[in-house]
Amino acid sequence: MTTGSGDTWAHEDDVRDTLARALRNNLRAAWGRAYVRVVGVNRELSWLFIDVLMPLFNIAAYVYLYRSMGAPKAYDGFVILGALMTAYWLNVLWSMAAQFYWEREIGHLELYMLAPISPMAILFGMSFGGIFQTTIRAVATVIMGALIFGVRFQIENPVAVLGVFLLTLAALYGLGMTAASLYLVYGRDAWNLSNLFQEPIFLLSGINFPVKALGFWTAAVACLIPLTLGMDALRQLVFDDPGIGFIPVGWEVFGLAISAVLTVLAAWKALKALEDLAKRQGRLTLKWQ
Amino acid sequence: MTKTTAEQWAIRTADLRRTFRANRRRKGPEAQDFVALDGVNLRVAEGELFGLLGPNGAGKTTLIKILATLMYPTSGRAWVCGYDVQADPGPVKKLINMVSGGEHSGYGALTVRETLWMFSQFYGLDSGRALRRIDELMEVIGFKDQANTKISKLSTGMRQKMNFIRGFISDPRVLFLDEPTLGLDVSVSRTIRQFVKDWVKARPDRTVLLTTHYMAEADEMCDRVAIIDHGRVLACDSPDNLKRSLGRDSAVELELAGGRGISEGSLAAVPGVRRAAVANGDAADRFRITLIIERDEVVQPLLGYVADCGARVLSFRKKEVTLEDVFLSVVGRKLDDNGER
Amino acid sequence: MAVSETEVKARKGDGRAGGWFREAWRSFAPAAWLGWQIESNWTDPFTFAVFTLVRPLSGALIIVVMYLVATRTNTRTDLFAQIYTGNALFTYLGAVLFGMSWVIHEDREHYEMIRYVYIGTSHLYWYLLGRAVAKFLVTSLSVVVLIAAGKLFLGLRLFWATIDWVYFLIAFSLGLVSATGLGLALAGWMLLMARQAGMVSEVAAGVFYLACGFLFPIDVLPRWAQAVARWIPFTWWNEGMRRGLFGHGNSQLLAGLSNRTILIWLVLSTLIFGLLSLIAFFGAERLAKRRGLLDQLTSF
Repeated sequence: MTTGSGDTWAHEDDVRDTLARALRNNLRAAWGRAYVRVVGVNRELSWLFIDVLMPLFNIAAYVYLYRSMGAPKAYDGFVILGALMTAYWLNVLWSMAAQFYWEREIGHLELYMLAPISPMAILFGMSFGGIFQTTIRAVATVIMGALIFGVRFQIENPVAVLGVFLLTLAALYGLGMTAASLYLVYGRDAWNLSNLFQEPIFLLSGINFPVKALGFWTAAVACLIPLTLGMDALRQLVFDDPGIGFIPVGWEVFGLAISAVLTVLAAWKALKALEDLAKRQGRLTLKWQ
Repeated sequence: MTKTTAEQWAIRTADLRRTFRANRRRKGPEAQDFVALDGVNLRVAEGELFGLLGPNGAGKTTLIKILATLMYPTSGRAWVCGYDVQADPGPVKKLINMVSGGEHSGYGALTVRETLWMFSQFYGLDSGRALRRIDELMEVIGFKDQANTKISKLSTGMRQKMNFIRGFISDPRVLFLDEPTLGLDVSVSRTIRQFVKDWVKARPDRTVLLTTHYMAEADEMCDRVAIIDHGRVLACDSPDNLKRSLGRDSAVELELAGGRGISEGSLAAVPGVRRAAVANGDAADRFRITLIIERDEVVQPLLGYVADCGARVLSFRKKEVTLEDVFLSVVGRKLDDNGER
Repeated sequence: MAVSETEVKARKGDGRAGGWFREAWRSFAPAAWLGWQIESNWTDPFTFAVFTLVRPLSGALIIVVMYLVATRTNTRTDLFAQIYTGNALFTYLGAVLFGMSWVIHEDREHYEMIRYVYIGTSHLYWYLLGRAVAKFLVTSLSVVVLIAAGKLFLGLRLFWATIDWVYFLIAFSLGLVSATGLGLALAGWMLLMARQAGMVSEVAAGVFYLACGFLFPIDVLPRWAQAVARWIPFTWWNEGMRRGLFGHGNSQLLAGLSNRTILIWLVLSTLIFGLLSLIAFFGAERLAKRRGLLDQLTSF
């Protein structure tokens, strides 16, 4: 292969990856990055206290709020289910998407971009490593919340519940990776944008109430957010209340599947495009933006 | 320098430019585009230990970032091992690594070994091989006893040693060292310099591009040195040739006390003085002058001028030409003067 | 050569009138300026204004929708007014707690400037206070926007003519003092903790959000929680502010107490809380220095 500078080096096979080798290398990289999270979480246990207590206080606040307003008992369960998914959404938003912001400030981002791997491998590693911490938070939240407030879940089809849950996660993590691409170019702007969108997404996804309460058209638009579809589907699957769903679970599963594929594709495109932009503008390694 | 065919350049740039766009909302100098690299043409052969010498803001780090695929040039092209850094970065990344001075990257909760292992995974090394290489490198650098120390407990010098090792784990063909001994003590700096020299010598296909503003480091380590200032390469040759390029020019140093109106401009106006640099001395009315003069005969009129200005000569010496003198001759100021254009 | 005591005193400003204040101001003022820069200079003024307006509104909307869904009535009720204003005023507490404690993580892990701040300022305490000022100002703007939006679009039952401004401002100010003290205590705790635990201020805010009657009266809580709530200044803060704004609180349990009694409880609890917070902060600071944790890097 000629490049205009003369001959290239006689090790094309070493520097051009086959698909299998690229996949293997990126999985290795993901595992390497996941390891940091797993080890860190086990060595610095201060997070345990916060990640278990904080959601519990939030749950309690919203449950008591509903009770003080005379809301039906079922709403206690909505709050607890919402807290479960909130844990994962916050993990996606702050421990994955925004992590590039921290990595750039520490000086790791340029080391990651220097290496012959995809940034998606790093992001995947971060999210995989963080799942342990998030799951502890989520499970503790649900169990304690259910026990303290006497909430009962009526799960007839645990496989369906697990399937919807995993599909929702896949779509959410794809969305998170797409958001992470912003941090390749932007610093505090992106950070504040993430901050800005946190509450509207909670509102539109119906974290604490059935999304149909937002009205048909608002709820329909809100279904573009994977969390909305996931929450609505899970509510229908774990609570015995026929009127709470916005659209049938089957449609929501379909929507989530499409969402998962599209968000991952969008992430791949966005990461490439914004990496390119960052290199053009010289912002990839620019700290303290 | 290893003789190679003309085509086999480890690093090559062609009219490389990089401009940073100004913040148009601001006024004054900040509203102007900043030219970091202004038409850089470099060729570094395989096996070379090549130095890039220049003051802060000369464009050294910008050049390295472009070659390391972290930034695109505004115009021009660059190749590493024959691969275009912008059009074909994938292969480039497999062949390079980079260590920057003053780095303190690292996850506080991990040990040295764990951190280095993590980075090895990014380069596709299987764990067993990676850990063996890490152990070997730590042994050579003299860092093995810190292998199981958490990053948060390391001193600056030890962190830099760790980051240094990180740069070698992937056994790169081309290694970029961006002021690698910045802020390190003499002993650690010496270890690192020796390690780099040995590493390059061990295999003929290894190349190092080193940026520094320590003259002695460039002089000691580099096969060739390019002097860069304000984004332009002003000279490029081996340290010995650069020094010889001053020809019959000599470097003299005077320490003066008192005197009026002595400046770099007025000294340079003395016939036979090529360049002058003035620096403050140890006391309030003392200063040091370094001059590049065309021939020894210039000394007498120079001393006469100094006397006419009312200054007392406290010391005078003629010194061996160093890279610093070459820098002064080429650039027009000392390395630690951040002159405006 | 030894430095004379006179020179040390001159640098510290001791021995002159207002020397102590001058010292504190020298730490506080630049910190306030810095806090404002960090808060605002990431974008142009228009975008910053939009961000400042949109964020609190979207948070409040969640409460509005929850109210509408649960009660199936409109927002022109006293109950809604109590919930809405309580939620708006709570943002001060969150902002002060987060504003003071997060600074430790930001300056330590992100900007790595904490050691220079520590040795350069008269005391970290004034620096933290200064850094919180920007958050306070932005929050004030947000609260004004929230109340205005509530009046304009939701028919919020809050009437300017009937507000006892003096009482409200006294209660508000005292509560801020408590919040500041607690922020300081949290900041001290942050000195000892890893970055991943940076959300400890959110936990603290969550406790008070739950237990102090911001959204709902403490009457709804279990008895033991009601007893605990009476010892927290923010409970009296809420009751005091509500009495100033509406003429009455939202708690039947506290309804029998006079306005004066509420203020007395607020002052007492503020004093106790403040003292405990200062002890916690200085204790944590001393421990951090002893363990060499002041400028540790802990990210993972």
